[in-house]
Amino acid sequence: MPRIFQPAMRAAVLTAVVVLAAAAVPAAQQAAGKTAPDKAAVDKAFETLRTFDWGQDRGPLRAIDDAIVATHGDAAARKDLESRLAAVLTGSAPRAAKDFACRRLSLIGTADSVPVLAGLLTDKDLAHMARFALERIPDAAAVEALRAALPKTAGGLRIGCIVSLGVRRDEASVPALAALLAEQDQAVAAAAATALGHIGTPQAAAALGDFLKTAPAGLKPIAADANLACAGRLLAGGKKAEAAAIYKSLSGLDQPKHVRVAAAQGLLAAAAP
Amino acid sequence: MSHQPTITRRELLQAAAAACAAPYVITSGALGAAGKPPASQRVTIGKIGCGGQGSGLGGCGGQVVAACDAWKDRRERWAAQTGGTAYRDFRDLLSRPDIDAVVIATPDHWHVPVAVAAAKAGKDMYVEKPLGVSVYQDQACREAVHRYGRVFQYGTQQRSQSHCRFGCELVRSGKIGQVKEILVVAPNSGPGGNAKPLSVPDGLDYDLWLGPAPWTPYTGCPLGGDGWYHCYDYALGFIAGWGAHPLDILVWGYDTHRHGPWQVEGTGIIPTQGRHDAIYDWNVRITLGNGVRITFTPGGDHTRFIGTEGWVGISRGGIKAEPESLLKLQLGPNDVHLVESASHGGNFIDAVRSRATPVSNIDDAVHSDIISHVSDIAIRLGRKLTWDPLRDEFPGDAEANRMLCRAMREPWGV
Repeated sequence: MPRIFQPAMRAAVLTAVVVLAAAAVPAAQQAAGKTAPDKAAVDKAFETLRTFDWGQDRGPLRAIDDAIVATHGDAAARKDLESRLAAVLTGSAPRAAKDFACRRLSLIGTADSVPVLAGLLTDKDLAHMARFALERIPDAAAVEALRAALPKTAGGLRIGCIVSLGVRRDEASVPALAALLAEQDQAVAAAAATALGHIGTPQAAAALGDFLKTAPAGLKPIAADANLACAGRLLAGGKKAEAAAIYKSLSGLDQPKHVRVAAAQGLLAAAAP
Repeated sequence: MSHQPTITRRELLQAAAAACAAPYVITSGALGAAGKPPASQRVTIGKIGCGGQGSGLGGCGGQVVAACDAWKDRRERWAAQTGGTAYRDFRDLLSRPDIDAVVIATPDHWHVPVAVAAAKAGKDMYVEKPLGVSVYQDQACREAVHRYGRVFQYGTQQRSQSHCRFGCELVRSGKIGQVKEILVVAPNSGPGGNAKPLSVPDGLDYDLWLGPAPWTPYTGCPLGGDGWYHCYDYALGFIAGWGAHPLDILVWGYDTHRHGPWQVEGTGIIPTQGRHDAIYDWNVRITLGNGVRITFTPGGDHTRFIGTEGWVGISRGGIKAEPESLLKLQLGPNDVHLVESASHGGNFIDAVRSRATPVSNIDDAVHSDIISHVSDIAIRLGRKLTWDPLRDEFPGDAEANRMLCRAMREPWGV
């Protein structure tokens, strides 16, 4: 601080700064007793992030995490952070930097981030971290992006999207997932069956019922498990008759013992008042 | 519209008969070797994870017939010691019909994916603590274990120490009066670990070791010691990894999940240098719906229940109480008596045979692990959260609810 600042003047200036700063802090932050983000530190963190790579000190990036915490309830500030994180994904930043950005977008990302994240679903290095964010973004645009990626992907990348749709229990994806049960790639068909089991709607049950009859030998255990999972969801939702029908279909001696035990348990649960 | 289920008594009996109609298979050692129990009494074990924890657990008293690890030397050493078969990929081990049960002692991020696959394959399981790396994983594990009626033993072996059981029985029997406060203390995590990329050593299938965790370069933490325990991609740090023990005693002595909603807040440090990035120096305060306060901090190992008429402190090493006379109390027939187990592995093997519920069951495992998760989430979000322990969610808090799951790296799922 320059010497010309006398104590009284210094106090007056500090008071003014504090008052102005307090006025700029959103109400939610004041209520939570949070500190406003240090803009200079955040700017520096984003500058560091442009070239951040594995093994480097993460300390300079800490300001971004602090800003995420401090801006809870401040939509405008969050939007600014979100757009800056999304910009990292479109540039030439190292994989580690994009990994960092995806993880933070999983916390604050909105529909606005979905297009850039969706663009990474076909990137073998970044698809997982894109799903890391998309799986958590509540907006319907996130699941729509995962669904839209199904015909554009194959193998592991497609399986990843299928798994995420199952985690989200996206009912709108049932037709697309049901179609994948006939895929030549058995790992894809298996993932689709498991996802349908998680979704657990009557439409999913219908597709899985057919799959139980038509699945190749190697997928029979997956088909049985997906049907059991689906029946469990229906049962939890009060659809006892539909669940019981599935359990009955898995009670035959053509099923392994642990599946028959599971089906018997399910039938008992479905019969309970 | 939901219809009444059309299940006849005959159908139920038929289903039950079909479920019991055939034995699993004749076990691998049916012909038996000298000095071993007959096959009908022997439980065959597949070991999945043969590092430090896995080696300590052995086969829990069962007959190890298979050993699996992403490290070649570890799986081959165990296979050679037991005369079993070595497997790189746990899915190959699980496909063996002659294996009754598995002991899962992998790094934490693999616990639930392997456990769910084991349940689907009809295997019983002993699973090292902590449970999952997300609440979603915990729920998936509980669902799969219940779906198939599997025997599940959680690796919280304090439940097989008589003084721990007695302490929890004192609390549940009201001998300290009404519980007002519970202090939980576990060893601390900390900073450290090499963060610089290194060459993957021969004999490690690093991609399989990572499995569902995000890809990052090899930095040496899969080598063992306690490196990966403190890396957030593979674990939550000791807020879960060691915290699982005193938190398990907490839920054994008090039904936290029945007293919602909880108010959860806390502080902690996330390291920014080195590979470790799990929280350490945490200080978590949870207030249950009935006003009972829980404080969870690092610095030791104990769970102290404080009531209106005294307190009981339980640790792996012993039990203390005030008044001390509580420790000499003989519990009567009308007091609470918890499941008795003198050997954690033995209790598991007995349960595999009898189909009883082991002393460390899946529901309690989920309850205690979730305390670690909500603590971690509250610290990371830096604000007080409300948790509904019956619905397993933060009511009306979309931001916090996002953190209940972590997308798994392809092609893995549960």
